[in-house]
Amino acid sequence: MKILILSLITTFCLTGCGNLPKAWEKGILAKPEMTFGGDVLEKKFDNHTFFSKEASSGGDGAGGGGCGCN
Amino acid sequence: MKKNNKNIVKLTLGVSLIASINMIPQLAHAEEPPKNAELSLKYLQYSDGQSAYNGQDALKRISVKAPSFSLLIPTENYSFSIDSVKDEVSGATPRWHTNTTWATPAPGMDDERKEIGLGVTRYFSRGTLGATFNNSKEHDYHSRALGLSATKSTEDNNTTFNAGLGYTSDLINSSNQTIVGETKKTTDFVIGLTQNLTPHDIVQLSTSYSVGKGYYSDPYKYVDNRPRDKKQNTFGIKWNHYLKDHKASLRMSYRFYKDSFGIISHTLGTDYVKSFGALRVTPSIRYYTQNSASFYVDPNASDTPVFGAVGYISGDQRLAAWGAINLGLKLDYDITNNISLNIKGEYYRQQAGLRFIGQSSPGLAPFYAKTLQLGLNVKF
Repeated sequence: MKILILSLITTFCLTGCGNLPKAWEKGILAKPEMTFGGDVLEKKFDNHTFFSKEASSGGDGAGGGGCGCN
Repeated sequence: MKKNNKNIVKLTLGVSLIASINMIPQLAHAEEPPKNAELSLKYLQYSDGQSAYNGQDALKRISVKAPSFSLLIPTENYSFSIDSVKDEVSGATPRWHTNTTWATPAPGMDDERKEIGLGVTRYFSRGTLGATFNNSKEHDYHSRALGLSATKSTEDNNTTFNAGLGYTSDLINSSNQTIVGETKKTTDFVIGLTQNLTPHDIVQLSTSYSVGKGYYSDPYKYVDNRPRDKKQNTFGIKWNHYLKDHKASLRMSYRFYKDSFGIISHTLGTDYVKSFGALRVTPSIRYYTQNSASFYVDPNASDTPVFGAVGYISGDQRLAAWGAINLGLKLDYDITNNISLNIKGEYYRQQAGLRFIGQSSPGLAPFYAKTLQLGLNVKF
């Protein structure tokens, strides 16, 4: 619950920011390296490698499934 | 599969766990289907081991070869995706601390895992709806998962909200036949927000909650009895900042994790992306630290396995307190506008002395892993 409250507070602060970029100011933000997508297979490999060695997981999505490595 | 040598950390480097990663918004813009179909091929070479420690020799352990592919096909209002991976795992089982049962480098173990993932996304003017299905099958573990997701953007396209719901059903039949027909059912939720802050800054927040019931213990250990219920919470923030003077991007991330086993962890990551014509260079660093589970027992404390122990207990080093550093370097080269090659190397080191939280587990031998990824992307 604390985590949820923290998230909501942070969300409120962010969305309340002024001077948000206009449509013609988003060229940089559209660059592939500025997005949160990137190389899907690379992210999957990396995250799975960490998942198999560490006690923590999650946060990147829902319903991805599991395996016997952890 | 050779019995009695099943590895508890058999690094089956599949893709299932985070197969829904592309369900998170990539940017806070109006959602629309990709303009091109895209085929990606990736080959992973992985190896790990334990360093010499406390009079023990260094030990090379697992190696993995994992070819994979993904295909994305867009239409007017939809996109369809399929991905698959085949893991071929072989090597030595880990040293005593990690596997109290069969800690021997010979005759070793081998295993194979196959997975397929399917996805569909429907695009609307200011949002998306998506669904995924994943099936992962290996000798002793079968996992099936369904995921649903939705995104919604504001009118100025500076804010995108996302939500996801997932359900995973796992079936476990251990190779040593100590566990037959055990199950694990997990339901997870995620909500998030992607926000354009300035023309050079974009931030993503997300929080997730997962609740599971079933078999969480490790059947390949003498001493391992974990609760059958598990709850997990995460809070994450990612911030991408464009460095105007460097003409480069800095990608930073932090994740807080807490679960009902008593584990708390912090993960910090940074990528620096710099282009030199058709070549993109991305060095990266990741730091991770966790405390130990409430029922973790450091072998150094008792020096021998606790046979016949009552209650929850585990000597799994993944439940101990330690820290880890991961260093990476990736090169992307655009051969044409639609074809690119990439190569990425990483080095991972995990040891008790790198921890920032929790009480140290001095009995842990430092662990390391090396990975190499080779990839080809084709748009058409």
